Order: sequence, then structure tokens, then C-alpha cells
Amino acid sequence: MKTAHRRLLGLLLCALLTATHADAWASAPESSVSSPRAVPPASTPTFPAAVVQLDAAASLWRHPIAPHRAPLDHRVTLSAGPQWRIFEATFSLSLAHVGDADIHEAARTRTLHLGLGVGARYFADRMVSRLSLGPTILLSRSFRHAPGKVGLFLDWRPAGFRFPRRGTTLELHPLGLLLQAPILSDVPLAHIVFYAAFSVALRVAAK
Amino acid sequence: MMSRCCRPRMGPAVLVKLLGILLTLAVTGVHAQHRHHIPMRFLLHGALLSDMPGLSNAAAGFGGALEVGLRVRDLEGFLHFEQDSWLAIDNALALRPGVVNIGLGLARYFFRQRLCAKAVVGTSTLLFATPFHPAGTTGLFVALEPAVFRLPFRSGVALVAAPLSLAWLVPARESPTLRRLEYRLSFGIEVPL
Repeated sequence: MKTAHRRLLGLLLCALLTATHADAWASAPESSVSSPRAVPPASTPTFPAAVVQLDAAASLWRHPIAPHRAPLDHRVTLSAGPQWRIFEATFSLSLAHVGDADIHEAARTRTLHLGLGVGARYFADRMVSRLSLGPTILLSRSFRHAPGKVGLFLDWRPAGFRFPRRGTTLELHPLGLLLQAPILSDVPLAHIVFYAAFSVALRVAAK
Repeated sequence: MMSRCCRPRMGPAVLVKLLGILLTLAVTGVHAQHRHHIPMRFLLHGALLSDMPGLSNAAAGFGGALEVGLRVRDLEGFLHFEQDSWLAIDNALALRPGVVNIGLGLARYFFRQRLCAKAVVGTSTLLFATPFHPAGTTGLFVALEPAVFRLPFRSGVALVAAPLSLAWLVPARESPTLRRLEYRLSFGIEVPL
């Protein structure tokens, strides 16, 4: 997808986010900063549930000097896990293509992430924060690194917007941070990338 | 084609005057009908998980900001003034004075004003001379903060924190263009005036 298209997609998602939240809270009573109890009760289930989530992420905003060197070209994640009250745990499997920051090595780095994560939903199930970490496996080959090396990754999504619709929930994470280091020894290979993500979650089991 | 000498320019002074006019009109128009607040925020920000050699293409820097605004219900317009120092890592780690950014912002509050989304547009003025641009060169500044968490207290004071936000700085628009993309973590305090 071209850079202009990705920027346009970002703007459209931001507009959608603002409009949806305005509708969802239009019927709320007047603000009261002094009373935390005034927040509407969460509509989240209080019983254990299992959720399967498909997630797509990409860096919408490219490097201003060299836009062809995308930090995160794309990343697809499949995750599943239980939910209890506002908390959730996930096991995730993701495939990431990351642009190499070394100007002399333009090839993309492909990695596989196996993550364990925790998350919390708040503001009446409309927001979510997540943190996941685990091993990352290098899939691509370069003149310095062979595939199969195993390192670590950490994924942080501090504030995601949720749009629940019955058993399906759409999520928009405007900004997330991915730290991955598939090779920690010899000549290290590590990336710090920022991205936006969009995901669909489906509740598959509930007691 | 419009010549360079006749090209309209919007400097910081024009922006401040424009904000004054807008605030005056807004206060006059809404004071009689709606309850409003005039918050002032002191903010610190850092973009430190950024321009690491071989790790990331984004820029590293840190600084502070002052915001004064007018909030009516869940909508706020504000003046944004910030200083952003830059970390240069070309040959050795060095601190540059960076830029001063002045802008007008709009914030929309959600969830009983415990969360807000902010956008700021304004000018970015270079505070030091580069090989291609003199100090004082002024360009564009855009900041997007999609999620700012806000913890209010009974006194009216509130703590604010934006875990991740985006700032686009273009202090020099003339060739060679000087541009920076910063992913920031910011936090601060809000006091009522």
C-alpha cells in the first residue's frame, strides 16, 4: 500500500473514532470530575470468556527523509485467550516484516513472534491497554544473519479504542510500540518501531 | 506563480494575535450560556526510544510545554507553547537547542473528561544554526495525541499523561527541507485559572 493511502486510512480511522465515541457518550449526563462513581458501569462480562482476535498493524507515518525505509511494513497477529472481568490474558502468534534501519541493508527482516500478554479494559469496555512479550524467531536471511535465531520481543499498546458489537469487537490502536531483537549476540539485530493497528475480536466461548 | 517575496507568511506573532481574538470571541459568546473552564497545563515530553543507530528512523528529543485554553463542556481550544531540544547522534551524542513550537490546539474530552484526544497545528522556529539554515527559520508544527489520560482531583488540579503521541516538525521548509518525526511520551499537571 502506498504511503499516501496509508495516511488517508489513518485520517479516516481517526474520524471514525471521534464520531463513534461522540455518539456512544452523547446520552451521558453532565461531566463530574469530582465523582469517579459517575462513570457508567462497565458492560464487560464478569464471567470467563474466550476470545480469538485477528490483528493487522503497519507504520502509517514513514520516515520523513527516506520514506521507502518503512520501520514496520506490516504485521499480522492471531491471538486467543481468556477474559475475566476487565482483565485478559492472550497467547499470540504474529508474523512481522520490518524495514532495516541500516541504510546499507535495505532488505526487510521477517520475524515470527510467540507472545504471552496481559491486558485491561476500562471506560465501560471502550478502551484497552495491552502488553505482550516472548521469543521472536528470525525467518529471513541476510549477509550477516542466518534464519532460525531466537531472540526477544516486547509489544506495548497503551491505549486502544474498542467498538463492541454483540459478540464481535473492533479495535483501533492509534499508536503502539514494538521492540524486537531476534539476535542478541555477535552482531545484534534489533528494531524499535511505532505503528498503528486495527483488529477484530470474536468471542468464541463463554460460560 | 507567486514570487517568494509576496508569499504570505504566518509567524508566531500572528498566531498569538489570532488566538487572542478567537479566545475573546469564544469567551464573549459562551460565557452567558455555558459553564466554562480555563485550564493551564505544564507538560514534559520525551522521544527517547527513537533515533537509535541501526534501530529506528524516528527522531530523539525532549522538552517542555505550556498550554492555556478555554474548555466548554467536552471541547477545548488552547494555545500551545513548547521548547523541544534535540539529541544529535551523527558523530557523537550531543544536545542541540532544537526548536520552539507555538500552535493552536483543539481537544475533545471523553469518559467524564478522563480521556481526551488532542491536535495542535502551528509554527516551529529553529533555535540554532545548521549548515543550511540560520537560527530563527520558521516552518510548520503538527502534533497528534490520540489518547491523553487525565486524573482529576477535587481541587480542580489534574494529572495528565499521554503514553504515546506523534509530533511532526518542519522548521525549515526551504530546500534542503529540515523535517523530524517524533514519537513522544508526555506527562504533566493541569491547574485551573
